[in-house]
Amino acid sequence: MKIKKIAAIGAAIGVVVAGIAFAAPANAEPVSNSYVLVGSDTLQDSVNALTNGTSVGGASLRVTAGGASVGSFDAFGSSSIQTKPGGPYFGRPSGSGAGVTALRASINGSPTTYSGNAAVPAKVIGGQVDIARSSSGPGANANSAGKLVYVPYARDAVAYAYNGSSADLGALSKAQLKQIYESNTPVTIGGTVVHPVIPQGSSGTRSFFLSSIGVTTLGSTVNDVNNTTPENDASVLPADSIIPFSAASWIAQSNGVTGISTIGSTGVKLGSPDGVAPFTGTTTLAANSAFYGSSYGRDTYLVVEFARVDSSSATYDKKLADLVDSTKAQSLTNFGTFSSTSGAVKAKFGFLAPSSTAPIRAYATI
Amino acid sequence: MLKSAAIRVAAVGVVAAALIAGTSSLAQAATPVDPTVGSAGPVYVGDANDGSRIADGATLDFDYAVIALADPSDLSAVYTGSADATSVETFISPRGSESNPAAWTAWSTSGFLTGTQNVQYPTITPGSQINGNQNAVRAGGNWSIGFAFLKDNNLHVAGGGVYFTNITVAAGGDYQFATPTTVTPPPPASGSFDQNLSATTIDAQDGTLNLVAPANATTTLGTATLVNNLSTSTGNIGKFTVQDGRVVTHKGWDLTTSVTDFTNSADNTKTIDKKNLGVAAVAAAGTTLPAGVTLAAAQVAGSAVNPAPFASAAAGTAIASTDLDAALTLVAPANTPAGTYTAKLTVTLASK
Repeated sequence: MKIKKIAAIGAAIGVVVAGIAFAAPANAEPVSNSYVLVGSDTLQDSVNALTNGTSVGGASLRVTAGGASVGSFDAFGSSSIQTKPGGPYFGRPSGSGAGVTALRASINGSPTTYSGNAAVPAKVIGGQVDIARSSSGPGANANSAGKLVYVPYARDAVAYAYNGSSADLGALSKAQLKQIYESNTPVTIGGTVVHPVIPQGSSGTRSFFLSSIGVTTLGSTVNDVNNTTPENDASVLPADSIIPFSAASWIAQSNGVTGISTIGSTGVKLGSPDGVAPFTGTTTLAANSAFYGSSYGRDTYLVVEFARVDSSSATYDKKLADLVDSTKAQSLTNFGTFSSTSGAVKAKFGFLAPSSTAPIRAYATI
Repeated sequence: MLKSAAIRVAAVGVVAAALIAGTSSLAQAATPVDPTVGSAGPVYVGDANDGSRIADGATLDFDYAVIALADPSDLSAVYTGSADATSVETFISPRGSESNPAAWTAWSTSGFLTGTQNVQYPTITPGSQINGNQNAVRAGGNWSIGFAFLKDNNLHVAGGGVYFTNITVAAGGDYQFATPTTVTPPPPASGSFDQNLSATTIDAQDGTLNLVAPANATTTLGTATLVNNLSTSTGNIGKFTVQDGRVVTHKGWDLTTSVTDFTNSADNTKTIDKKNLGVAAVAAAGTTLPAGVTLAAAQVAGSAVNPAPFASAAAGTAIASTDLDAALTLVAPANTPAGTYTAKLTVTLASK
């Protein structure tokens, strides 16, 4: 996670300056044999485990669709991705919002274009994305006749990671967090002058965190590093700084089930907002339901085109519908507890069952 | 149960489970499913949702998630692998080709239970076998489905063996599965009680592989008779036993025989070539040859070769005790002077 993210930032800047071609990505990923997921960084590790095969839940399982493997593309990596055989290279969607935008562009097809980042020109990407990973719900875009549907994936919670004094930064209150992220002058807690950092703009973790602490306008002290800071990456934190961090991602990285842990020996810790620890345990961590059930908890989603999973639709696609059918033991949205279910895998990645399994339709127009 | 065609999952499938009871929509439902023969152990079909055993006779949707259960009454049970296994794959094969990965029709990578060489709850959903030609299976027919412990980069089956059951697939993919025959102990006549048991186990260790010689070290063949005008003597060396306590490695074994030329007791210049002693492997009198032990073809007097294979147990088997005997036939050539001749028969046991 960490290595690729840093490389991606460097690559993006280099390409802009040099203005060179983008057709040959630095890190080509295999194309998908069937459906494609893009979007949230928070969900990518658990979705990768499910689609690529894992035994962290006990039994060995792999989520497939109609006899084919499914392709899930990371939020960070090379600046462009090619998701399907013969398809266009397009800007990698880096986050929940970007994932949904890419899905909408994929549904619309020509002449709509999609630009994932500045390094890659906008492209027509019709049919190149099937599912968007989203760590936040549709919010104001919810619409009972919406063209998209948000299917609950799992429950996460957002805390903050900090690099500094536990006594000062270990248990910040909501009021303190709001003050830190709204202030135009440095905020001092105890003996620490706190430096707030925020993930890039299309991060669902960013938007949820700011919403949960009541911040609508960021203060000028907030460092967003040209709007490129990856989410859930402990390595980006300078001394005496804090950043919103998915509790599930923290637990997954700590438990060693992700490909790379950004926590390592950074000394970065996960804070306890309002004094409630996001996890339990010391060696093997597990989600703390008290924290996940608080206002810091959030349901996460997989977003698909409603018409493709509506059995009354002419474009109904049973394979795709099965993939997001939570009643199926080895679907992406299942949250069972038995070890041969997808839910058992997600639990190892720090997630709890979503608070509701009801899908939410959104976006009256695509 | 579990037949999906009747109810189509409505929007997003986030609605209630589309599972219905039913057993009879399969075209071949009237045809009994063949019993499983050749699997290293039983494969019971379980529901991936909760590990519950799926009822015999159920018709399953091709894509309904199911797992293999080693013991439906004990969800902690695992399929024990072997030390030489480096990977696990699930598969669908033509019946009879289960142990030949090159002949599998569809397959998928599976995995060991973390930190062990064992397997628990492998996914044997037909629709999840994404390599090969899944559509050939979906088109219908008689198949085997299961999983295998593999070695040599998935080329060959490892000592842990192949576990499978048979399925009968209707055109389109709905299928029924065979259930291993089990012996269910009768319930107690009346009453019951619960007893909490506790035991601390230690790792299993290999025992030894032993060969126990016959009780009598000398075999005197029976009185010679003339068969086709040639002196023919027969006899058995008596019961001898192969004891194999290697419960962990299950390596299997080979028995071979070799014999010296027969020499006249009164004049050692007169001999009978060893090729004239026929040796046939048989189960010891009063015993039944254990499954997994194979007797070699008999060596025929006059054309016997030495040394010669006698019997073997395949790798993957650990048969505690195998009682064998050797039936001997000495046919003296026409120019052999009458007399008493002696020789030595050596039976050699070697691990595979």
